[in-house]
Amino acid sequence: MPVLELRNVTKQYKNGRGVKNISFSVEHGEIFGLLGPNGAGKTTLMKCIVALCRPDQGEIVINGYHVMDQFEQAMQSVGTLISGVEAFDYLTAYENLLLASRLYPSLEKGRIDEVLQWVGMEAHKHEKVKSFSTGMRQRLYLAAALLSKPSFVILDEPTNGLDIEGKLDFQELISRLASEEGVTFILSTHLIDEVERLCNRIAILSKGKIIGEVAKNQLAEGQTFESFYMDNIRKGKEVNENVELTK
Amino acid sequence: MLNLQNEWNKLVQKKSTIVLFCLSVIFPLLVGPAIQMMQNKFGFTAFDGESFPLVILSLAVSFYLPLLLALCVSDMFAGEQEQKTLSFLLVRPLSRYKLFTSKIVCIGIYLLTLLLQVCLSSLITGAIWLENFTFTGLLMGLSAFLLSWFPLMAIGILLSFLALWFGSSSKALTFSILLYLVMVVLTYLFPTVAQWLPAYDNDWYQRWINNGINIVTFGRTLYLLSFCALFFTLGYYKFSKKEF
Repeated sequence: MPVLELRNVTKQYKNGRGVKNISFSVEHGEIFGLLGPNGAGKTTLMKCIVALCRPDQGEIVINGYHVMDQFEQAMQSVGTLISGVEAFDYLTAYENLLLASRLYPSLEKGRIDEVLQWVGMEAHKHEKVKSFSTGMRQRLYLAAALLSKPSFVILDEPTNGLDIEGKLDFQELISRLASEEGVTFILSTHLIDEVERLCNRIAILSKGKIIGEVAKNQLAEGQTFESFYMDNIRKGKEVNENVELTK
Repeated sequence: MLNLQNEWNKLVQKKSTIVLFCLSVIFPLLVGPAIQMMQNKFGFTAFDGESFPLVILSLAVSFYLPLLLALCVSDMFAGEQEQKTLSFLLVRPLSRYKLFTSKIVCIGIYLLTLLLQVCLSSLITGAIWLENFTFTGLLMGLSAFLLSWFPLMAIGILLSFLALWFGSSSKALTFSILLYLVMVVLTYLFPTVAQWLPAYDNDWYQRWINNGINIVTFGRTLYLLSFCALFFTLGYYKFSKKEF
């Protein structure tokens, strides 16, 4: 059974943006990259997966549970870092994680300190979030995503605002969790180097549609995720230009 | 009520909430001695220890508590949506029904805390500073404050439903205050229309104290209960359909 399965998911906004007929699945232990240029629909899709947005049609299933109808069961073992979701800035980092931890009754006491240590924020745990830089906030959100000991983590632009050291620490942490604890990740990003280092499989999202999907072991010799991405984006552009010419 | 403690913690950790809690306690404590001084100076007795808590309650129920409710509700719904913090809990294993219910229950507890604070401080003021403070007065004051929770809660639930239509707390607050003022004005200008609005029940405690339980108060209780149920359901429906 796949950890995540999307079947013909469509979400269209009034301005014409959104995603159309998206279908893919993420298997246990994978680090699945969702790549695309800005405005491709990555965050919309991520928000649909965690039910912050309601798809116009299609189904989203996490660990066998339908997200729309069985939300609590579906999210029980899921960690999320969604772009645009903010922590309470009048609370400290620790207090924010405490709020989140109350929603996972089986969590042990020392877990908050453990995840804060993982993301290098233990020294700032009693500081209010309003005094944090973008990078520190991003570290806190990553800690919140990993708090519940999730078996599946959804990361939307996770390294936005992180410095070089922060990015490397983050990549190391993701690799370690995937290899040692078998955590499955779906990672939405527009940073190709991050994908090259971390992902086993990628899908390319452009103008709301999946235009290519490949696993690392399916790449031709000498081909990288970057070249695969560029080929598909160019092809997508050519197709669009031809469609416009025929019109 | 998995999230109730979260909502309460968020509320009481705001500086504005602490300031308002302090003001609620201080106001009757300051007004009591001032009234006694004026009564001594001019030689009349307008308020005594028995009636003082009810005078404070009528002021609190008419303006102060609805304003604090509007502040709390607009911040809890529209404010959190504006600051994008509402989604911080929405992406956890917590259904929207549970989140919405915990917020409404938290508003109820907040309202009860405010009422008890004003009640205790006005009872203490009445006992210390004013004459004729009796045990009957104490019981009457306490029950009047507790009875006032119900119609105020109906206003709170109505305001929660309305706050969900706004994307900013300042807009939600402004609209809530204007709406409440309109309801109060209607109560005086068109009493027949006003009977359908919860602001009509600002003197709820007086009706109970004067008449006790009778067919009219019982009918009105049922009306307020159905009003709460209607706007709770509409509010939840709106909240469950909201996209972030």
